[in-house]
Amino acid sequence: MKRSLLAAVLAMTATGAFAHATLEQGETPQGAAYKGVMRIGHGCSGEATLKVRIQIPEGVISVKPMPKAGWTLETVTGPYEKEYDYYGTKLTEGVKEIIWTGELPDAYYDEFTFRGTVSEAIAVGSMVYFPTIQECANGAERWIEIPAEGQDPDALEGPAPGVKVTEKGHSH
Amino acid sequence: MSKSVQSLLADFAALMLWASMALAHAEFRGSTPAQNALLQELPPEVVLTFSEQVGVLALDWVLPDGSRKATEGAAGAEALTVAAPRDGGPGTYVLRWRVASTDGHPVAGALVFSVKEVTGTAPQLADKPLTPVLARGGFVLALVLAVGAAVFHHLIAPLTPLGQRIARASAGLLLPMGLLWLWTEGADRLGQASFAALAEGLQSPAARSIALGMAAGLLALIALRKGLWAVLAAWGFAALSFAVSGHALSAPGGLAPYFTALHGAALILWVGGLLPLTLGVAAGPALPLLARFSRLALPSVLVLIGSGIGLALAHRGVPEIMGSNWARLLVAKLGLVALMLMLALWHRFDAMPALERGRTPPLRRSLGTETALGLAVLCLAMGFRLAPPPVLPEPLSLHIHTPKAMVTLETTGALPGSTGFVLYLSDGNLTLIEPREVTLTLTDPLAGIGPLKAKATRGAEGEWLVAPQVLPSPGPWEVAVGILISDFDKVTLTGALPTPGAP
Repeated sequence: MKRSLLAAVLAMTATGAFAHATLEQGETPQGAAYKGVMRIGHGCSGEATLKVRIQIPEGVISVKPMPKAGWTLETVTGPYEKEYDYYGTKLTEGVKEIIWTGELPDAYYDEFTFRGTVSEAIAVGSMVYFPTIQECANGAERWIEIPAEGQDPDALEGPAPGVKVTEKGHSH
Repeated sequence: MSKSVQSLLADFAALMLWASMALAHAEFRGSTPAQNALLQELPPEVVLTFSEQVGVLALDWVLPDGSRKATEGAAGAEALTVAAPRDGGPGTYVLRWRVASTDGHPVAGALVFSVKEVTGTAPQLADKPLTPVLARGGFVLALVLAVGAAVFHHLIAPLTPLGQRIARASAGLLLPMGLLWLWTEGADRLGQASFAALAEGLQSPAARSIALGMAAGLLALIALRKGLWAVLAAWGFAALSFAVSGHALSAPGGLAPYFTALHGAALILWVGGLLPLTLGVAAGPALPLLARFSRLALPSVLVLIGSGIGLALAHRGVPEIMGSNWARLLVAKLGLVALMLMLALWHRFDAMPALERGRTPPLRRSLGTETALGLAVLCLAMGFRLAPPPVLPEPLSLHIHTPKAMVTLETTGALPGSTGFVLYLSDGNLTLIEPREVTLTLTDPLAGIGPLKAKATRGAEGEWLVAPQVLPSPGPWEVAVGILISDFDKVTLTGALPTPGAP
């Protein structure tokens, strides 16, 4: 069993589904609401995760985090770099970072949810990244690396969770 | 691969992941013996400790002679036990390991420890070839005796019949001795004593020394009959034969071959002339012989000392030089040379005036002693091959430039070996940056070592320092410098360290 488990896990390496922090839904249509579920698979080298921080990229607007039992929730808000039209309303500022504070032992798994809209400022076909940090008592796991043009995201040590922006009105 | 198969695989993998979710990356916790340990004997087994059970991907040993052997390990709950390799004698052993934790992350490293003595991992230093040293010793002794006698014959006084016979025999020995040296040199390079070793020996730098030495021997034979030209050519060839192989070529600065040739020419006159002198003094009037010899030998001693100082200075500035075997051998050799000098000065300033006054000092005994000392010095000098001079570590440097950031990285030591790193970081506009965290990751993909990760600490002047890491291979090592500029902003610069010796 151990060997086959290892083989499966190694096979997984090839498909890029590491025990990294990842988003459950890897695609979202432009202009529609996106429910982001951040999956946290492990702590920092055995330590419990005490804080989960997700950075909201420019162009993702109207963001609201989902509260979590046992975790205190904060947001950092600030002005957007430009003005966005959100169903006829002009949006000039909003959530830039979400912070959940609580405790997730290394042995457990959990998910952290938020909602937002990918504006038209982000081109169809491109990736939009949500850099994420797990803070522990004596260190941090940072999933904040964004691959450069043409770079294989699997080559990154701490790849930022990303979502591919698809065409409006189609779910796939 | 179709999309559905891919997603099925991903689902399957995710399912398996659920089962093992409790397990994170395996962390390397330490080993027995410890990294860089110096042991008295090879341990029966080596234990690597991890934070969790690991699966072995690859394990192999690098023995002191540079040979490699794949091995297997037994993975326990938190320890991986690897049986010792076959006994490769004293020296440095490297266990290269690559394991996977159950979350699929490969973790790799190299455990370096030494038995009795640290030889690094450079195989040419690890095995100490004795047979080529002995063969070379015989060859050089015969060369010095043959050419020294010919020089004496022409420049000082005709050889006695016994001196002639010894000179001819020495010159005649050069052919078999040369072939023996060539063969042992080749056998050492091949690692086996076969007929092919002779051909392999021809590829070594020693072949040039042997060819020059044999030519010098032949010219010395001719010179014993007639011809000043032959003796001068023999002298020159013999001096050159010292300079075209061995440490003369590896010493820094480039002047060492010239000093070595001068050193060789002077020692042929002095040490090579002592035996004919002793025989001549025994056979006839001593005073004129001594007077002629000392007129040439004393200047040659000055050349010997001068070139010797030049050679020693070529290695100056190497911090490890004091206390190395090379230095100990040098001190022993200088001690013997000092005794020889005392005898020579006694001959010149005490024995010669005594002879002039008609007395008979114990010349045969003192000249015999000086000759024996001279031959002993030659034998000691052969031993330098077993104790090479320490080489100044050549720091390597690397510059990586991207629009976002740049780094200049310098090693503090040489490769392979233990080296620290100094990193100078700036942004694309050459302004110093103040990162939150800097990490250095080193991988030698060809040797399968790494990734070895190290955290940098901030130095006093804005540079970042990495504590010494053991890099057991010459590389090329791939370098990744991770710069955490702010909480969410990390830049990773990648490059490769130049291999040592490359321009």
